[in-house]
Amino acid sequence: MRARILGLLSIKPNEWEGVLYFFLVLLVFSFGASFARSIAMTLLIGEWGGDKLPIMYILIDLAAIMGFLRYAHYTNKFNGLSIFKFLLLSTALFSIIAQILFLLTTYWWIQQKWVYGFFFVGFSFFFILISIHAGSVVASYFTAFQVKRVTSIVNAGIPIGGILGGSSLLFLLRFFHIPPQYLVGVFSCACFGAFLLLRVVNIHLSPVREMQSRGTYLNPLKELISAFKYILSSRLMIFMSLGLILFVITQKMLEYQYQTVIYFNIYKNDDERIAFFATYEIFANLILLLFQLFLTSRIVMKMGVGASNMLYPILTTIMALTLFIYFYSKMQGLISDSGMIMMLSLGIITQFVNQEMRWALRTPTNNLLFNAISPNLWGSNKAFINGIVFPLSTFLAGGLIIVITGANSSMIGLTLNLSEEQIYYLLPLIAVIVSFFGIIVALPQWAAYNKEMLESLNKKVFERRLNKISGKPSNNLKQMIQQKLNSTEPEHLTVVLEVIRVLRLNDFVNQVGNLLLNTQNFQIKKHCINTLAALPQSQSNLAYLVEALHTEKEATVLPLILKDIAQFKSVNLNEDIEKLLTHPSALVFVEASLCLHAHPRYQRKHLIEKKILKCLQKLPNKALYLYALGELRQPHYSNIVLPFFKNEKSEIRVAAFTAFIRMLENQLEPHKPRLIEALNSRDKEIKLESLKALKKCKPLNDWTPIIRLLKERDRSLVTESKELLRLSLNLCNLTLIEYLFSNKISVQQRFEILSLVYPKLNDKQCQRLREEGNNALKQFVQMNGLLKLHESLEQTNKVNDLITKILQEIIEEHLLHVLTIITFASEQNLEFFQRVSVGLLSLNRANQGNALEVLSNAREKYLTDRVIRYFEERVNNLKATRRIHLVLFEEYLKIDKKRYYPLLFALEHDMLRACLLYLEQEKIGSFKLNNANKNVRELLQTAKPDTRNIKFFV
Amino acid sequence: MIRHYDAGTMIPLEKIIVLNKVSLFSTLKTEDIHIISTIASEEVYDDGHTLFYEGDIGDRLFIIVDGEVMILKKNKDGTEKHLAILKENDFLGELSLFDAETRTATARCHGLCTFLVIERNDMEQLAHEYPAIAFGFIKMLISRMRSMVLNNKT
Repeated sequence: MRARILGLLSIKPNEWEGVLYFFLVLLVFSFGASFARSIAMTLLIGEWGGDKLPIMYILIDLAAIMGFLRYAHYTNKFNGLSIFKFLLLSTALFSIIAQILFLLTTYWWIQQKWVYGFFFVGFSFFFILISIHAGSVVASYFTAFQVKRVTSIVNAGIPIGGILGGSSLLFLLRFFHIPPQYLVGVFSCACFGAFLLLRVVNIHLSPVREMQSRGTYLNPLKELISAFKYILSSRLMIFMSLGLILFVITQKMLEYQYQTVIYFNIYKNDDERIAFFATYEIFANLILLLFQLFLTSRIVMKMGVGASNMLYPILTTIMALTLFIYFYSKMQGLISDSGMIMMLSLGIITQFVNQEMRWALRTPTNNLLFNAISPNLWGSNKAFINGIVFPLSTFLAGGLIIVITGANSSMIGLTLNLSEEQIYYLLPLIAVIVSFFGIIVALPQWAAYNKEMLESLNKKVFERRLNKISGKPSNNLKQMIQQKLNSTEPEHLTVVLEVIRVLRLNDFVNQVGNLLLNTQNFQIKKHCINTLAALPQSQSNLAYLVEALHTEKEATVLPLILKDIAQFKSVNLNEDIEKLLTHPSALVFVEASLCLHAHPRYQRKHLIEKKILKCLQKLPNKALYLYALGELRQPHYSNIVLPFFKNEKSEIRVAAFTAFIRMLENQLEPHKPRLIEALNSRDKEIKLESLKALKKCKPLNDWTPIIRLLKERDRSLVTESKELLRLSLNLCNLTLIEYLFSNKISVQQRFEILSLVYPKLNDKQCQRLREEGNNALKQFVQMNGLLKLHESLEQTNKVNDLITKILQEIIEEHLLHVLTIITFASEQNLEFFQRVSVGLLSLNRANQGNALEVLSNAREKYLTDRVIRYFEERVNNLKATRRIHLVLFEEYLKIDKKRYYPLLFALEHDMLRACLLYLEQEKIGSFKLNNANKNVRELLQTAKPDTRNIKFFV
Repeated sequence: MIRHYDAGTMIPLEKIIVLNKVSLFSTLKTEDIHIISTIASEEVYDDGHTLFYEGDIGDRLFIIVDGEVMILKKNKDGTEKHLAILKENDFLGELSLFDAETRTATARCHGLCTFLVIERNDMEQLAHEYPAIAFGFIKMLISRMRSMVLNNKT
């Protein structure tokens, strides 16, 4: 039964408790609020007069603005639930005070009518604050994805509470004849009841997205200014604010139309109008309730938050357009509606769209947009939207209606003098235009929501928004650089030199040059030289380098200066540099030699070559002289470096290979086999050099060695390999696609290959890729089942934790395969993949929920829906895994205790296999390594005596 | 008790098992732990052996595989004050892997102790070859320092 109800309401079993508690909180509060609302309105109008209403509304707006100022402040100081409890207790206290005042007014202070105004304003103020805040608190207890589904069910507590409260009030008034002023205490009790329910919430539930203290507190005004700044920097908030303004204007226009134009013309008598409203309220609220319970969440789930925010403006546009056509046609005499049936129908539908659909569609979908905003900012942003934008919009809408209709125009001294018929069609026409703009605004709002939702994932890494700095320094930056260049702190100087270097700020050449000549710190000198080298070549930077060459004594600095000077080919400093050939430092000798050898006017180049060759043969610093030999770029020396390829020292191997490539820069084609062989080198630098060299050769016949490098952990290797493949994509396309569907492909390889070939895949291949994704998902679920079984066995052996970790990594790998395919099928990028992966693999429920929300907006639906379905179930035992496996793949998951070891052995994972053999060895006393491969053996056997890294100290 | 081969030597898998249990490496992938295990050497010390003295320059990380280590600090009068006892899977000198700072306390074996020891030079070489490992390790260090700062605040 419960399962059926949950299914009907689209709630997952794990959400039931949260939904129930918050539903009850809103129901109880709404029950009391309906008492208070009716009593406040009745007593105000009955005892103090309806003419006080406008001033009351102004007071409510003012109170709300002030209240939201404080609210914004406290949302940064206390958590959401505490504020909710405080608001409820304050409201309960306020109601008790109001009750006492009502009793005093009834018996002693009969003339004190302000008490009724005080209650009306106070109740409205608390009601607004609680209604806005309750939404944030409910949202903080569910993930961004769950809240789409549960919010309308939780909110159904409001109309149900309202209906129950209204009926109870009627019953008490009619049958017990209790004066209304005695019943204010009911509201106080309801607030206290809701407060107690929140205490239960506090005990049983914990928030998923905490609205927590930021640690720094601003004054209320600064809070709003900060919210305003945030809104200006957030596209989503700008569109939300614009959307709110357009919504309020449309809503007021349509409301005026059906209230003042339609109903007033049809029902001239007050009693008839009241009877009509009563009937309308009953049916409209019933439909609203059913809509909220069964349709809202389904619509949002199906369409997504961004798209469902377009529905309300579309509906209002349609209604406004229909009203315009009706009234315009009627004025032109094109239609006759003598019985006014058509007009009444239009009025009812418009009111339903305007009023009921607002609660059923606009408010819940609009609140869901806050998913993309950090919970810490909800308070101040909601305060800004409701405390500033909303009153401003009301003022705008009111002013517009006054100008058009001429009603109360003396107040603003502006009227258009339109006839009644003109007003009848002009108001809906304006509503059409404004609500159409509402649709337009909802489009970029949709895109902004998706973008900011994606950014909300892994916020810690990506939250800093760096200002772009243009090539020309702004005055502030210039001042900062000037100031830092005078600093005595080496760290400051290093940073500022880096800024000048990266931005190539030539204005600072003199300061950098002077710093080079005056500093004693090697790091600063190094940064100064690098900075001068990066700046455009000029007489100024050359002058500083030459002076530094003459004055510098440090053997570590001179090579850097020489390297820079070598770039200035037009200047002849050869005589000075020649003196450095006798410098005791090998590095200075090498750089001086290279500098001279590269100079077009230097005559004794052959002597330099001889000297370097001699050094290579006789001196120990082989890597340095190999580098020097390579930089000479003479192909005839290539055979000299070949013997060093197999040197035991990595730096010598790398230097020899690099030198080889430099020497044969334009004649590498005959050496291609050697380059391909180098791709298997132990040294990353050799692989990189080889890849770069292969780019200069003709396309390869076999692309496998390059494709294999796509799974390297080093990013530069992957990038270079990809570049090489991209250059000959037409030739290697088929090999890449073949690799794409092989079993042993890693996630990274698949991702990189897809980034190259996805646009070239045909429909059949795309379909096959999706099947691969589904298989990976199946394995992901199955491995999760195996992990759950492993955990349930609660083994105490030494390898238990390691096996758990290995299984988790295998699970992760399968999920990443699925997400890779979803990423490309949805035409998304690496950022999407990374953020969604990190979110889904996170243990934090809020992150996981945000990732699911982002994923739900992905274009690929088949795999996405299945992944979401799995995560939504929050599978935490083998039984649940079996269930979801059956649901997703219509197959029974054959994982149980008997199959535990065979299943683990079946996984082709060396470390896992070693763990299992280790366990076996503990039981039988020896290792059974007959079927183990080399990697497994290495894990289980001690290193050979001559190489083992074991010392024994006793 | 970890099984010993050839007079107390650990097989590579056993090193991985130990490293996986140490909080410093627990967030790393098994593949990375495997790589780190290749630079971790096993050392056994007798009761009373001082691993390092307060003020020594540190360049080694000690992971306790078996046994207990006393952490001591010198009083003003020169006597040693007992601060803590570290046990299996605890570690000493994690910062010395990246920074040659002086040891802030003395560490002495309490009973026969087996350690996995990682030298700074080896770690630097590894970090150069596998930046991802260094990154994961640094993340872990930062997280530990953050929680230490928070603990101090509270």
